Amino acid sequence: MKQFISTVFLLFKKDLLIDYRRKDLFFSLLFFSLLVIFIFDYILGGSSSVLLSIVPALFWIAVMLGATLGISRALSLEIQNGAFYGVLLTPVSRESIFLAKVISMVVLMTFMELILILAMVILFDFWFFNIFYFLGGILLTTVGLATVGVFIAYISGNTTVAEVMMPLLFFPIILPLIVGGVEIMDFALWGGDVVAMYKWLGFVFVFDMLFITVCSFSFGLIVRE
Amino acid sequence: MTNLSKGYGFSKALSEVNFDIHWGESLAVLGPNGSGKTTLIKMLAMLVKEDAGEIIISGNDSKLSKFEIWNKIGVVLHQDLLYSHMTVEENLRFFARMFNLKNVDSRVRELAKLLDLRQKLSDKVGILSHGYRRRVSIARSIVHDPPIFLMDEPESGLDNISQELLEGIIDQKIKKDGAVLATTHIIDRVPIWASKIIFLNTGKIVKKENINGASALDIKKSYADLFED
Repeated sequence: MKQFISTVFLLFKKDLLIDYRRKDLFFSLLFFSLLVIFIFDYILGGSSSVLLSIVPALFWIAVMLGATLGISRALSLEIQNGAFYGVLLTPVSRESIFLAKVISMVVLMTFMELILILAMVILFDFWFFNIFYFLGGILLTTVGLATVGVFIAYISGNTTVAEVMMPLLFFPIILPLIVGGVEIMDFALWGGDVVAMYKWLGFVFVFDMLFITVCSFSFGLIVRE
Repeated sequence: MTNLSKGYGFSKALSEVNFDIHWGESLAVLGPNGSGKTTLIKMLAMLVKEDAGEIIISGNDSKLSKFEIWNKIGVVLHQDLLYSHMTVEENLRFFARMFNLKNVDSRVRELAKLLDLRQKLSDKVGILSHGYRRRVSIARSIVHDPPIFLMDEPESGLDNISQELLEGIIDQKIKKDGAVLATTHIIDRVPIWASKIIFLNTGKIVKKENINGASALDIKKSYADLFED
Protein backbone atom coordinates (compact mmCIF):
# COMPACT_ATOMS: atom_id res chain seq x y z
CA MET A 1 0.00 0.00 0.00
CA LYS A 2 2.85 2.36 0.91
CA GLN A 3 4.48 1.57 -2.43
CA PHE A 4 1.18 2.22 -4.23
CA ILE A 5 0.73 5.62 -2.58
CA SER A 6 4.32 6.68 -3.24
CA THR A 7 3.95 5.70 -6.93
CA VAL A 8 0.72 7.69 -7.23
CA PHE A 9 2.46 10.67 -5.59
CA LEU A 10 5.50 10.38 -7.88
CA LEU A 11 3.32 10.29 -11.01
CA PHE A 12 1.13 13.12 -9.71
CA LYS A 13 4.22 15.27 -8.97
CA LYS A 14 5.48 14.64 -12.50
CA ASP A 15 2.10 15.66 -14.00
CA LEU A 16 1.98 18.79 -11.86
CA LEU A 17 5.49 19.80 -13.00
CA ILE A 18 4.56 19.28 -16.65
CA ASP A 19 1.25 21.16 -16.28
CA TYR A 20 3.12 24.03 -14.64
CA ARG A 21 5.62 24.18 -17.51
CA ARG A 22 3.01 23.62 -20.22
CA LYS A 23 0.79 26.52 -19.28
CA ASP A 24 -1.05 26.26 -22.60
CA LEU A 25 -3.17 23.37 -21.33
CA PHE A 26 -4.51 25.22 -18.28
CA PHE A 27 -5.11 28.46 -20.14
CA SER A 28 -6.82 26.81 -23.10
CA LEU A 29 -9.11 25.01 -20.65
CA LEU A 30 -9.83 28.24 -18.75
CA PHE A 31 -10.33 30.50 -21.77
CA PHE A 32 -12.55 27.96 -23.49
CA SER A 33 -14.81 27.73 -20.41
CA LEU A 34 -14.84 31.51 -19.98
CA LEU A 35 -15.78 31.90 -23.63
CA VAL A 36 -18.82 29.68 -23.15
CA ILE A 37 -19.96 31.91 -20.24
CA PHE A 38 -19.44 35.10 -22.27
CA ILE A 39 -21.31 33.67 -25.25
CA PHE A 40 -24.33 32.84 -23.06
CA ASP A 41 -24.15 36.29 -21.46
CA TYR A 42 -24.15 37.88 -24.90
CA ILE A 43 -26.93 35.67 -26.32
CA LEU A 44 -29.21 36.32 -23.36
CA GLY A 45 -28.52 40.04 -23.67
CA GLY A 46 -27.24 40.47 -20.14
CA SER A 47 -30.69 39.72 -18.70
CA SER A 48 -29.62 39.14 -15.11
CA SER A 49 -32.80 37.35 -13.94
CA VAL A 50 -32.56 34.73 -16.70
CA LEU A 51 -28.80 34.36 -16.27
CA LEU A 52 -29.00 34.00 -12.50
CA SER A 53 -31.54 31.21 -12.79
CA ILE A 54 -29.23 29.21 -15.03
CA VAL A 55 -25.88 29.95 -13.32
CA PRO A 56 -25.38 26.33 -12.04
CA ALA A 57 -26.24 24.77 -15.42
CA LEU A 58 -24.13 27.32 -17.26
CA PHE A 59 -21.18 26.69 -14.95
CA TRP A 60 -21.25 22.91 -15.43
CA ILE A 61 -21.80 23.10 -19.20
CA ALA A 62 -18.73 25.34 -19.46
CA VAL A 63 -16.71 22.98 -17.24
CA MET A 64 -17.90 19.92 -19.15
CA LEU A 65 -16.90 21.38 -22.53
CA GLY A 66 -13.57 22.63 -21.16
CA ALA A 67 -12.86 19.25 -19.58
CA THR A 68 -13.53 17.45 -22.86
CA LEU A 69 -10.99 19.64 -24.59
CA GLY A 70 -8.43 19.66 -21.76
CA ILE A 71 -8.41 15.99 -20.79
CA SER A 72 -8.22 14.66 -24.33
CA ARG A 73 -5.48 17.16 -25.22
CA ALA A 74 -3.43 16.35 -22.12
CA LEU A 75 -3.53 12.62 -22.76
CA SER A 76 -3.20 12.65 -26.54
CA LEU A 77 0.11 14.55 -26.23
CA GLU A 78 1.39 12.00 -23.73
CA ILE A 79 0.36 9.09 -25.95
CA GLN A 80 1.71 10.67 -29.15
CA ASN A 81 5.24 11.34 -27.85
CA GLY A 82 5.34 7.88 -26.32
CA ALA A 83 6.10 9.01 -22.75
CA PHE A 84 3.02 7.10 -21.64
CA TYR A 85 4.56 3.85 -22.93
CA GLY A 86 7.70 4.63 -20.95
CA VAL A 87 5.56 4.60 -17.80
CA LEU A 88 3.78 1.41 -18.88
CA LEU A 89 7.17 -0.31 -19.13
CA THR A 90 7.83 0.19 -15.43
CA PRO A 91 6.76 -2.35 -12.80
CA VAL A 92 4.00 -0.28 -11.23
CA SER A 93 0.30 -1.13 -11.01
CA ARG A 94 -1.86 0.23 -13.81
CA GLU A 95 -4.32 1.43 -11.14
CA SER A 96 -1.67 3.79 -9.72
CA ILE A 97 -1.02 5.25 -13.20
CA PHE A 98 -4.74 5.86 -13.68
CA LEU A 99 -5.37 7.35 -10.22
CA ALA A 100 -2.39 9.71 -10.48
CA LYS A 101 -3.70 11.03 -13.79
CA VAL A 102 -7.19 11.50 -12.31
CA ILE A 103 -5.80 13.39 -9.29
CA SER A 104 -3.72 15.70 -11.46
CA MET A 105 -6.74 16.41 -13.69
CA VAL A 106 -8.88 17.11 -10.57
CA VAL A 107 -6.31 19.65 -9.34
CA LEU A 108 -6.09 21.34 -12.74
CA MET A 109 -9.87 21.44 -13.23
CA THR A 110 -10.66 22.61 -9.66
CA PHE A 111 -8.20 25.49 -10.05
CA MET A 112 -9.86 26.40 -13.35
CA GLU A 113 -13.37 26.11 -11.84
CA LEU A 114 -12.51 28.49 -8.99
CA ILE A 115 -11.35 31.14 -11.46
CA LEU A 116 -14.44 30.50 -13.59
CA ILE A 117 -16.87 30.95 -10.67
CA LEU A 118 -15.02 34.10 -9.61
CA ALA A 119 -15.54 35.47 -13.12
CA MET A 120 -19.24 34.54 -12.95
CA VAL A 121 -19.67 36.22 -9.54
CA ILE A 122 -18.19 39.42 -10.96
CA LEU A 123 -20.12 39.21 -14.25
CA PHE A 124 -23.55 38.24 -12.89
CA ASP A 125 -23.32 39.84 -9.44
CA PHE A 126 -24.41 37.09 -7.02
CA TRP A 127 -23.12 35.48 -3.83
CA PHE A 128 -23.41 32.04 -2.24
CA PHE A 129 -26.06 30.89 0.19
CA ASN A 130 -23.49 28.36 1.50
CA ILE A 131 -19.96 28.36 0.07
CA PHE A 132 -18.97 25.07 1.76
CA TYR A 133 -21.68 23.13 -0.08
CA PHE A 134 -20.49 24.79 -3.25
CA LEU A 135 -16.85 23.73 -2.67
CA GLY A 136 -17.86 20.21 -1.66
CA GLY A 137 -20.15 19.93 -4.67
CA ILE A 138 -17.59 21.05 -7.24
CA LEU A 139 -14.90 18.80 -5.74
CA LEU A 140 -17.10 15.68 -5.81
CA THR A 141 -18.47 16.39 -9.28
CA THR A 142 -14.99 17.16 -10.63
CA VAL A 143 -13.65 13.85 -9.31
CA GLY A 144 -16.35 12.02 -11.30
CA LEU A 145 -15.74 14.14 -14.41
CA ALA A 146 -11.97 13.55 -14.28
CA THR A 147 -12.35 9.80 -13.63
CA VAL A 148 -14.68 9.17 -16.56
CA GLY A 149 -12.84 11.72 -18.74
CA VAL A 150 -9.38 10.20 -18.25
CA PHE A 151 -10.70 6.68 -18.86
CA ILE A 152 -12.52 7.60 -22.06
CA ALA A 153 -9.66 9.80 -23.28
CA TYR A 154 -7.34 6.75 -23.11
CA ILE A 155 -9.86 4.62 -25.01
CA SER A 156 -10.45 7.23 -27.69
CA GLY A 157 -6.77 8.26 -27.79
CA ASN A 158 -5.91 4.97 -29.47
CA THR A 159 -8.45 5.51 -32.25
CA THR A 160 -8.13 7.61 -35.39
CA VAL A 161 -11.27 9.59 -34.51
CA ALA A 162 -10.30 10.61 -30.96
CA GLU A 163 -11.80 14.13 -31.23
CA VAL A 164 -15.24 12.75 -32.16
CA MET A 165 -15.10 9.65 -29.98
CA MET A 166 -14.32 11.54 -26.75
CA PRO A 167 -17.52 13.65 -26.53
CA LEU A 168 -19.67 10.85 -27.98
CA LEU A 169 -18.72 8.52 -25.14
CA PHE A 170 -18.09 11.13 -22.44
CA PHE A 171 -21.29 13.22 -22.50
CA PRO A 172 -23.90 10.42 -22.12
CA ILE A 173 -22.01 8.84 -19.19
CA ILE A 174 -21.50 12.05 -17.24
CA LEU A 175 -25.00 13.44 -17.82
CA PRO A 176 -26.37 12.16 -14.45
CA LEU A 177 -23.26 13.51 -12.72
CA ILE A 178 -23.76 16.95 -14.25
CA VAL A 179 -27.42 16.92 -13.14
CA GLY A 180 -26.21 16.13 -9.60
CA GLY A 181 -23.59 18.90 -9.78
CA VAL A 182 -26.20 21.42 -10.94
CA GLU A 183 -28.63 20.47 -8.14
CA ILE A 184 -25.94 20.78 -5.42
CA MET A 185 -24.75 24.11 -6.80
CA ASP A 186 -28.33 25.37 -7.05
CA PHE A 187 -28.72 24.76 -3.31
CA ALA A 188 -25.28 26.24 -2.54
CA LEU A 189 -26.26 29.44 -4.39
CA TRP A 190 -29.90 29.98 -3.53
CA GLY A 191 -30.71 27.55 -0.70
CA GLY A 192 -33.76 25.23 -0.74
CA ASP A 193 -34.51 21.65 0.24
CA VAL A 194 -31.50 20.47 2.27
CA VAL A 195 -32.64 16.81 2.28
CA ALA A 196 -32.86 16.74 -1.52
CA MET A 197 -29.40 18.33 -1.69
CA TYR A 198 -27.93 15.63 0.57
CA LYS A 199 -29.49 12.98 -1.67
CA TRP A 200 -27.74 14.52 -4.64
CA LEU A 201 -24.46 14.71 -2.70
CA GLY A 202 -24.85 11.00 -1.90
CA PHE A 203 -25.62 10.22 -5.53
CA VAL A 204 -22.53 12.06 -6.80
CA PHE A 205 -20.38 10.34 -4.15
CA VAL A 206 -21.66 6.89 -5.17
CA PHE A 207 -21.12 7.76 -8.86
CA ASP A 208 -17.50 8.72 -8.05
CA MET A 209 -16.79 5.57 -6.06
CA LEU A 210 -18.37 3.33 -8.68
CA PHE A 211 -16.45 4.82 -11.60
CA ILE A 212 -13.14 5.09 -9.70
CA THR A 213 -13.38 1.38 -8.90
CA VAL A 214 -14.53 0.19 -12.32
CA CYS A 215 -12.23 2.46 -14.35
CA SER A 216 -9.12 1.76 -12.19
CA PHE A 217 -9.45 -1.98 -12.55
CA SER A 218 -10.35 -1.83 -16.25
CA PHE A 219 -7.50 0.54 -17.08
CA GLY A 220 -4.92 -2.25 -17.32
CA LEU A 221 -7.03 -3.90 -20.01
CA ILE A 222 -7.45 -0.85 -22.22
CA VAL A 223 -3.82 0.31 -22.24
CA ARG A 224 -2.57 -2.92 -23.82
CA GLU A 225 -3.11 -3.04 -27.59
CA MET B 1 8.58 -17.56 -27.33
CA THR B 2 6.30 -20.28 -28.66
CA ASN B 3 3.73 -20.10 -31.47
CA LEU B 4 3.24 -16.39 -31.00
CA SER B 5 0.53 -14.84 -33.17
CA LYS B 6 -1.01 -11.41 -33.39
CA GLY B 7 -3.47 -9.88 -35.81
CA TYR B 8 -4.90 -6.41 -36.29
CA GLY B 9 -8.35 -6.77 -37.84
CA PHE B 10 -7.99 -9.04 -40.84
CA SER B 11 -4.21 -8.64 -41.22
CA LYS B 12 -1.76 -10.90 -39.42
CA ALA B 13 1.15 -9.00 -37.86
CA LEU B 14 2.81 -12.16 -36.49
CA SER B 15 2.01 -15.75 -37.27
CA GLU B 16 3.22 -18.68 -35.14
CA VAL B 17 6.62 -17.21 -34.36
CA ASN B 18 8.98 -19.47 -32.39
CA PHE B 19 12.49 -18.75 -31.16
CA ASP B 20 14.71 -18.95 -28.11
CA ILE B 21 17.39 -16.57 -26.97
CA HIS B 22 19.82 -17.64 -24.26
CA TRP B 23 21.87 -15.68 -21.74
CA GLY B 24 24.98 -14.28 -23.38
CA GLU B 25 23.37 -14.14 -26.82
CA SER B 26 22.44 -11.17 -28.96
CA LEU B 27 19.81 -11.63 -31.63
CA ALA B 28 19.32 -9.36 -34.64
CA VAL B 29 15.87 -9.33 -36.24
CA LEU B 30 15.97 -8.36 -39.90
CA GLY B 31 13.11 -7.89 -42.31
CA PRO B 32 11.45 -5.38 -44.64
CA ASN B 33 8.94 -2.76 -43.50
CA GLY B 34 5.71 -4.32 -42.25
CA SER B 35 7.31 -7.67 -41.49
CA GLY B 36 6.21 -7.56 -37.83
CA LYS B 37 9.47 -6.47 -36.16
CA THR B 38 7.92 -3.67 -34.08
CA THR B 39 4.96 -5.84 -33.06
CA LEU B 40 7.42 -8.51 -31.95
CA ILE B 41 9.32 -6.07 -29.69
CA LYS B 42 6.09 -4.58 -28.30
CA MET B 43 4.76 -8.06 -27.52
CA LEU B 44 7.96 -9.04 -25.73
CA ALA B 45 7.67 -5.76 -23.78
CA MET B 46 4.03 -6.63 -23.02
CA LEU B 47 2.69 -3.45 -24.57
CA VAL B 48 0.78 -5.53 -27.10
CA LYS B 49 -1.30 -8.54 -26.13
CA GLU B 50 -0.73 -11.76 -28.03
CA ASP B 51 -3.69 -13.49 -29.69
CA ALA B 52 -2.07 -16.88 -29.17
CA GLY B 53 1.22 -18.33 -28.00
CA GLU B 54 3.47 -18.09 -25.00
CA ILE B 55 6.27 -15.76 -23.94
CA ILE B 56 8.62 -16.89 -21.19
CA ILE B 57 11.28 -14.38 -20.15
CA SER B 58 13.88 -15.46 -17.62
CA GLY B 59 11.54 -18.19 -16.37
CA ASN B 60 8.56 -15.82 -16.02
CA ASP B 61 5.38 -16.32 -18.00
CA SER B 62 4.27 -13.01 -19.50
CA LYS B 63 0.65 -13.74 -18.57
CA LEU B 64 1.42 -14.27 -14.88
CA SER B 65 4.55 -12.34 -13.93
CA LYS B 66 4.45 -8.99 -15.68
CA PHE B 67 6.17 -7.00 -12.94
CA GLU B 68 9.09 -9.46 -12.74
CA ILE B 69 9.52 -9.18 -16.51
CA TRP B 70 9.36 -5.37 -16.58
CA ASN B 71 12.09 -5.35 -13.94
CA LYS B 72 14.28 -7.50 -16.19
CA ILE B 73 13.83 -5.81 -19.56
CA GLY B 74 15.03 -2.49 -20.93
CA VAL B 75 13.09 -1.35 -23.98
CA VAL B 76 13.97 1.13 -26.73
CA LEU B 77 11.18 1.83 -29.25
CA HIS B 78 10.91 4.15 -32.27
CA GLN B 79 9.51 6.85 -30.01
CA ASP B 80 11.79 8.19 -27.28
CA LEU B 81 9.32 7.47 -24.44
CA LEU B 82 10.44 10.64 -22.65
CA TYR B 83 8.71 13.72 -21.27
CA SER B 84 9.77 16.60 -23.49
CA HIS B 85 8.87 19.28 -20.89
CA MET B 86 11.20 17.72 -18.33
CA THR B 87 15.00 17.96 -18.33
CA VAL B 88 17.24 14.99 -19.07
CA GLU B 89 18.04 14.64 -15.38
CA GLU B 90 14.37 14.91 -14.32
CA ASN B 91 13.42 12.22 -16.83
CA LEU B 92 16.15 9.83 -15.66
CA ARG B 93 15.36 10.49 -11.99
CA PHE B 94 11.65 9.97 -12.58
CA PHE B 95 12.14 6.61 -14.34
CA ALA B 96 14.72 5.50 -11.76
CA ARG B 97 12.16 6.15 -9.01
CA MET B 98 9.49 4.30 -10.97
CA PHE B 99 11.79 1.28 -10.77
CA ASN B 100 12.13 1.95 -7.05
CA LEU B 101 15.92 2.38 -7.24
CA LYS B 102 17.61 3.40 -4.01
CA ASN B 103 20.78 4.97 -5.42
CA VAL B 104 19.10 7.37 -7.87
CA ASP B 105 21.79 10.10 -7.76
CA SER B 106 24.72 7.81 -8.47
CA ARG B 107 22.81 5.89 -11.16
CA VAL B 108 21.91 9.11 -13.01
CA ARG B 109 25.55 10.27 -12.85
CA GLU B 110 26.72 6.86 -14.06
CA LEU B 111 24.34 6.88 -17.04
CA ALA B 112 25.23 10.47 -17.93
CA LYS B 113 28.89 9.44 -18.04
CA LEU B 114 28.21 6.23 -19.96
CA LEU B 115 26.20 7.98 -22.70
CA ASP B 116 28.14 11.24 -22.58
CA LEU B 117 25.14 13.27 -21.45
CA ARG B 118 26.80 15.24 -18.63
CA GLN B 119 26.60 18.57 -20.50
CA LYS B 120 22.91 17.99 -21.31
CA LEU B 121 21.52 16.98 -17.91
CA SER B 122 19.81 20.32 -17.27
CA ASP B 123 18.45 20.69 -20.83
CA LYS B 124 14.80 19.97 -21.52
CA VAL B 125 14.39 16.87 -23.68
CA GLY B 126 12.18 18.84 -26.10
CA ILE B 127 15.07 21.05 -27.20
CA LEU B 128 17.62 18.25 -27.72
CA SER B 129 18.67 17.04 -31.15
CA HIS B 130 17.26 13.71 -32.32
CA GLY B 131 20.58 11.97 -31.65
CA TYR B 132 20.77 13.18 -28.06
CA ARG B 133 17.14 12.26 -27.45
CA ARG B 134 17.96 8.72 -28.60
CA ARG B 135 20.87 8.64 -26.16
CA VAL B 136 18.59 9.75 -23.32
CA SER B 137 16.06 7.15 -24.43
CA ILE B 138 18.74 4.45 -24.23
CA ALA B 139 19.75 5.75 -20.78
CA ARG B 140 16.09 5.60 -19.68
CA SER B 141 15.79 2.01 -20.90
CA ILE B 142 18.78 0.82 -18.86
CA VAL B 143 18.22 2.99 -15.79
CA HIS B 144 17.38 -0.11 -13.72
CA ASP B 145 20.28 -2.10 -15.19
CA PRO B 146 18.12 -4.83 -16.74
CA PRO B 147 19.77 -8.08 -17.90
CA ILE B 148 17.65 -8.12 -21.08
CA PHE B 149 17.70 -5.42 -23.71
CA LEU B 150 14.90 -5.16 -26.34
CA MET B 151 15.42 -2.55 -29.02
CA ASP B 152 13.44 -1.50 -32.08
CA GLU B 153 15.86 0.06 -34.57
CA PRO B 154 17.83 1.78 -31.81
CA GLU B 155 20.43 3.13 -34.25
CA SER B 156 17.92 5.33 -36.11
CA GLY B 157 19.15 8.91 -35.92
CA LEU B 158 22.37 8.01 -34.09
CA ASP B 159 25.69 9.35 -35.32
CA ASN B 160 28.80 7.12 -35.40
CA ILE B 161 29.91 8.08 -31.88
CA SER B 162 26.46 7.34 -30.41
CA GLN B 163 26.27 4.08 -32.34
CA GLU B 164 29.62 3.00 -30.91
CA LEU B 165 28.39 3.92 -27.43
CA LEU B 166 25.34 1.75 -27.99
CA GLU B 167 27.43 -1.17 -29.26
CA GLY B 168 29.62 -0.80 -26.18
CA ILE B 169 26.53 -1.08 -23.95
CA ILE B 170 25.35 -4.17 -25.84
CA ASP B 171 28.84 -5.68 -25.53
CA GLN B 172 28.87 -5.06 -21.77
CA LYS B 173 25.40 -6.61 -21.44
CA ILE B 174 26.51 -9.75 -23.29
CA LYS B 175 29.75 -10.00 -21.27
CA LYS B 176 27.68 -9.84 -18.09
CA ASP B 177 25.64 -12.79 -19.43
CA GLY B 178 22.67 -10.68 -20.38
CA ALA B 179 20.63 -11.04 -23.57
CA VAL B 180 19.92 -8.57 -26.36
CA LEU B 181 17.26 -8.61 -29.06
CA ALA B 182 17.22 -5.79 -31.58
CA THR B 183 15.54 -5.09 -34.89
CA THR B 184 17.68 -3.23 -37.36
CA HIS B 185 17.99 -2.01 -40.94
CA ILE B 186 21.73 -1.35 -40.72
CA ILE B 187 23.11 -4.73 -41.77
CA ASP B 188 26.74 -3.46 -41.90
CA ARG B 189 26.86 -3.26 -38.09
CA VAL B 190 25.11 -6.56 -37.36
CA PRO B 191 28.26 -8.77 -37.23
CA ILE B 192 29.78 -6.35 -34.68
CA TRP B 193 27.12 -6.95 -32.00
CA ALA B 194 24.88 -9.90 -32.95
CA SER B 195 25.50 -13.62 -32.46
CA LYS B 196 22.30 -14.84 -34.14
CA ILE B 197 19.94 -13.53 -36.79
CA ILE B 198 16.33 -14.18 -37.63
CA PHE B 199 14.77 -12.98 -40.84
CA LEU B 200 11.13 -11.98 -40.59
CA ASN B 201 8.71 -11.54 -43.47
CA THR B 202 4.94 -10.90 -43.34
CA GLY B 203 4.88 -11.96 -39.68
CA LYS B 204 6.69 -15.27 -40.15
CA ILE B 205 10.27 -16.32 -39.46
CA VAL B 206 11.65 -17.26 -42.86
CA LYS B 207 15.23 -18.04 -41.81
CA LYS B 208 17.34 -18.37 -38.65
CA GLU B 209 21.12 -18.43 -38.65
CA ASN B 210 24.11 -18.09 -36.36
CA ILE B 211 26.63 -15.40 -37.23
CA ASN B 212 29.63 -17.75 -36.84
CA GLY B 213 32.05 -15.28 -38.41
CA ALA B 214 29.70 -14.30 -41.25
CA SER B 215 30.50 -10.90 -42.72
CA ALA B 216 28.05 -8.07 -43.37
CA LEU B 217 28.31 -8.98 -47.05
CA ASP B 218 27.15 -12.56 -46.34
CA ILE B 219 24.19 -11.26 -44.33
CA LYS B 220 23.31 -8.77 -47.07
CA LYS B 221 23.36 -11.62 -49.58
CA SER B 222 21.02 -13.71 -47.40
CA TYR B 223 18.75 -10.68 -47.03
CA ALA B 224 18.74 -10.03 -50.78
CA ASP B 225 18.01 -13.70 -51.55
CA LEU B 226 15.05 -13.67 -49.21
CA PHE B 227 13.48 -10.28 -49.81
CA GLU B 228 14.63 -8.82 -53.12
CA ASP B 229 13.45 -9.98 -56.52
